[in-house]
Amino acid sequence: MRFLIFILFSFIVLTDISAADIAAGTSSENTDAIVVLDELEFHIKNINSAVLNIHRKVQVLREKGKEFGRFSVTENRYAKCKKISARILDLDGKELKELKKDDILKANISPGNTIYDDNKYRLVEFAWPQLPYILEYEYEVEFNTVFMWPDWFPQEDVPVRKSVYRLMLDEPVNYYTYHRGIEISPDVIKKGKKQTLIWTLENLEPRLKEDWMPPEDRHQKYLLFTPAEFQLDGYKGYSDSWAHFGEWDRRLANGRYQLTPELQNTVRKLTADCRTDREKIGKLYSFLQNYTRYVSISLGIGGWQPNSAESVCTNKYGDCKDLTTFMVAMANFVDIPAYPALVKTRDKGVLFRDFPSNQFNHVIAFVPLPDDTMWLECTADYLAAGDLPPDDEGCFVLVINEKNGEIMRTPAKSADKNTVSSIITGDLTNDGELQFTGQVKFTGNNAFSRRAGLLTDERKDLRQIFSTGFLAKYLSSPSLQRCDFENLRDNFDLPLICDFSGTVRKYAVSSARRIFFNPALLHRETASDLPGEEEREFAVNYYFPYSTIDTVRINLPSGYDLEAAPEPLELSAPFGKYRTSYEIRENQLTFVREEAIYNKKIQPEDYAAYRSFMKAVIKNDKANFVLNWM
Amino acid sequence: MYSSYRFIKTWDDLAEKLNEAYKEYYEMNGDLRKKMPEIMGDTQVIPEKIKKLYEFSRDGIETDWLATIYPRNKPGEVLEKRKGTPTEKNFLLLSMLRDAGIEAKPMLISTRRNGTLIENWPQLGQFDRVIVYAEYGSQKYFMDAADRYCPFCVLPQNDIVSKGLVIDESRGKIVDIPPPGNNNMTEIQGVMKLDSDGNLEGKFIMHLKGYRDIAMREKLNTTDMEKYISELLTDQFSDAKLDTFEIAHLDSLNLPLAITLNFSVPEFAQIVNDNIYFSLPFLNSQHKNPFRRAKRFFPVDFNYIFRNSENIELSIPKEFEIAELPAQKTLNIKSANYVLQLASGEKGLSIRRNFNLDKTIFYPSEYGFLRSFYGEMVSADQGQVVLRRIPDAAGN
Repeated sequence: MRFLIFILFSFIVLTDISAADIAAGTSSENTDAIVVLDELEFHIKNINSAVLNIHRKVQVLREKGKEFGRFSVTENRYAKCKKISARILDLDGKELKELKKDDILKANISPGNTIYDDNKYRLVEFAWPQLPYILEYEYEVEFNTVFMWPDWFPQEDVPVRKSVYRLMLDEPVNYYTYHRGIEISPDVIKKGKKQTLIWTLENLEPRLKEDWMPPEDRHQKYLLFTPAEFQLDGYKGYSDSWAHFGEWDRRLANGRYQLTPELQNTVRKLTADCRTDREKIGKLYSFLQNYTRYVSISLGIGGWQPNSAESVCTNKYGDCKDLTTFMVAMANFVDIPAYPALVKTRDKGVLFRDFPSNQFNHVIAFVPLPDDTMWLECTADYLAAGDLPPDDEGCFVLVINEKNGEIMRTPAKSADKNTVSSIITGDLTNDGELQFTGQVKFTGNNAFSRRAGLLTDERKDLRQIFSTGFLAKYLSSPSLQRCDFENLRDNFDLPLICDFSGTVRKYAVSSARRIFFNPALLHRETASDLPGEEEREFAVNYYFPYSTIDTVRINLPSGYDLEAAPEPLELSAPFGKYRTSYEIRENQLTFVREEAIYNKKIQPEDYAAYRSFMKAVIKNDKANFVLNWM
Repeated sequence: MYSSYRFIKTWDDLAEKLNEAYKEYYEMNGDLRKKMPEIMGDTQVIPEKIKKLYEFSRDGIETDWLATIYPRNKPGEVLEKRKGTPTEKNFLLLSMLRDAGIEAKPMLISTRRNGTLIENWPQLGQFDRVIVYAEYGSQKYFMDAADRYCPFCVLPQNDIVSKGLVIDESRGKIVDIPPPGNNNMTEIQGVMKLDSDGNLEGKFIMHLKGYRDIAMREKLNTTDMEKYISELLTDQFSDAKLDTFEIAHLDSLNLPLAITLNFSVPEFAQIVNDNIYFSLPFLNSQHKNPFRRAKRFFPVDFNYIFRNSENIELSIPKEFEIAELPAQKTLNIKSANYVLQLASGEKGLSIRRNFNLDKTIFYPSEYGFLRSFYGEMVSADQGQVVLRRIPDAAGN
């Protein structure tokens, strides 16, 4: 009982920040809101029972700050919301409004690509029309597992006066932590078997934001938790090593790699004439792409446990883990070892390799062939067997093999594999019209994203999609007469090629004596491509390395001389290169522009060089050629 | 055995049904009655009372953007929650106006997103918004308290429609809504200086009125203000740096918004040998023709008519003179005109650009003209100025 009293007391002390304190000296800050208090309490009774309490107090200063009154609580088989309360106070602490039951909207809308799941959401939108005001809310969620142990992200996009993480253990529970930017030790209070650990941070600056920063740097202060032992729907697991964690995942898929007899026949027939395992995998992967489609239905442990290969055979759909199970089952059936690999996709950051835990959001297949390893993204319809999309490239993944769990790294394509190359020939008239024919080739990730863009666009009209989505970036309203594709819907291992011809009516600007035009028709760097910061704390993140080479031949109108043109420029740096050149022969201008960025990340130590490189490129790319009437 | 069904055949039939459903949402409770004198103050002037009640409904109640023509909460409950759907906020306004002795009625409209009202089809499903219609003397008031950036008697953009159904007890009457005024305008004054290295620096002062003002006010209040203003600049001058900015009347809806931007653009102009080349330094020019399709089957519908004007005074480096200016341009199609005028003076260049649109609907038969009008405007806006070094200034 004394313990209980202490806990209640400490809660009151921590939350006792008066409205007057909040108002003092804060409202003039240049921010939408100030988080005055952010408390998270996770009370673990045992590994199958825990209670989460959230308590937040926010001073809302601007219209945009009202977003802090929009929050949701997720409920599912493992989590039940027990209470939600909220109130709005004026700066003198007088209550203006209290949350009523009918202010809470219940919904079970599934997010993203999930067609159905059993998550339910309690949504609250709680605001007051007159600014400024203080918003305070609390909610409590009961868990029947510690698998969803909440992490601590004390830093936000607005200043945080005080953030507290309180962990209460009714009995000893082993757990591991992983931190960044938080060097403090918790205050520990012990009472018999019970223990309370309290981490507190005060006066936190908003998160640092830089243009195109790597996803892993979005959060700069965090403390992550994982239980050493957990249980989910009767499946017990351990986080003391990747092998143990992988073993849990492996057990979830036990007995789910069987194909239906019909599918067994199909697989036999498909691979009968194949001479190598690589060829077999290619056939099976292509079959997977045509036979199934991506649909996610996630119920209970179905968020982690794949549906059986048999159910994918029957339903012809599945999510990443279902389709991977199906692919692995087909490979195994023809005696090719294949395994699922758990991925934290690149857009979510990087895997913390020294922190075995549930960090994954995706599954792909791993096929260790004798000569070469193949990685298969089983949800992609427009990818060659063995190729990976940018979000899967260069990731540390957990392969669930005979050793249960083994960390490996997926390959990443270099700039010379992700190319765009074009040759365009055109006639320029003296009123600024350009008639052109050309060909452009895309390889690697450029081909993948271009194929996906063309084939998934709802407009269906390929000519229009290509014209508006690619050619029109720097050309004003190009009108295409012809646009033919090669290797668009098949032969994904070959470059995607587009042959086209058309007209841009107002390509060049003409005046009484002069014509102004820019021959960099397809690729240019502009000021909006340059990160805003003079100096960087974090790397500049590219989606993938790439290279482009564009050759443009323009037949100039007769009677004009070249009056001005940007000087040919050649830049070379460890992170990239850029080169332009031009010549005029028999009234034809030939302009060549090459650019490459070699690395996915430009590190802060290279940033100054990168910035001056980009500035020079931008300046050169925006310069016009000027023709003067002779 | 037979059943008798009565179908809605006229607007009066529909009004009768709706009047029954709406009746309880005109009811005032004690709290609301108590609030009325506080809202209206000591004014005895009816139009002033209407304005104050509108402003309270608009600003004093948070908007829950749920599209429904039925209120769920009575006015007293809306006041207590300080939150309501557009319909609930408008019923709050209605009930207060009626309580103050002002003739006010609900008016159902089909918003722009919902489509045009078909007058000879008395169907409830045509409507998606209830606004307030009030009369005092010969003056008619059309009000929607949903949008906190709309001044008194200015309907939100999505409500700009020509007709609505007024529920006058058991009578349903289609009433014309006057089109918005012609004060939707953006006026820009620019004063800037180009140096001999091609750098540009200067100031823009932007005045906005009508729906231009409303749209900008909403952006400034709901996004990162500095970033948004900076983007206004970089949309036109890709390398521009916003040095400082000031916004006047951001919190006063009844006064026009004025934004002052001090900026610089390094290496704005291209310098080759003894020539300097640069494009016209507008803040509000047309980069691309928005009408990409060669043909069109449906009308183009601009929400409102508008006037854009921009006047630039540009000083050029004293050792340079104007070698060539873009051609003056006047474009006229029915109900749209564009003028670009340039004049060189002692110290530099005066540039004037006007673009006025005087009607909102352009039918497919007019589309070709409109598309080509925009094409010509884009071309004129991209005009290039050429300066050449004065021989003496070069020491030759």
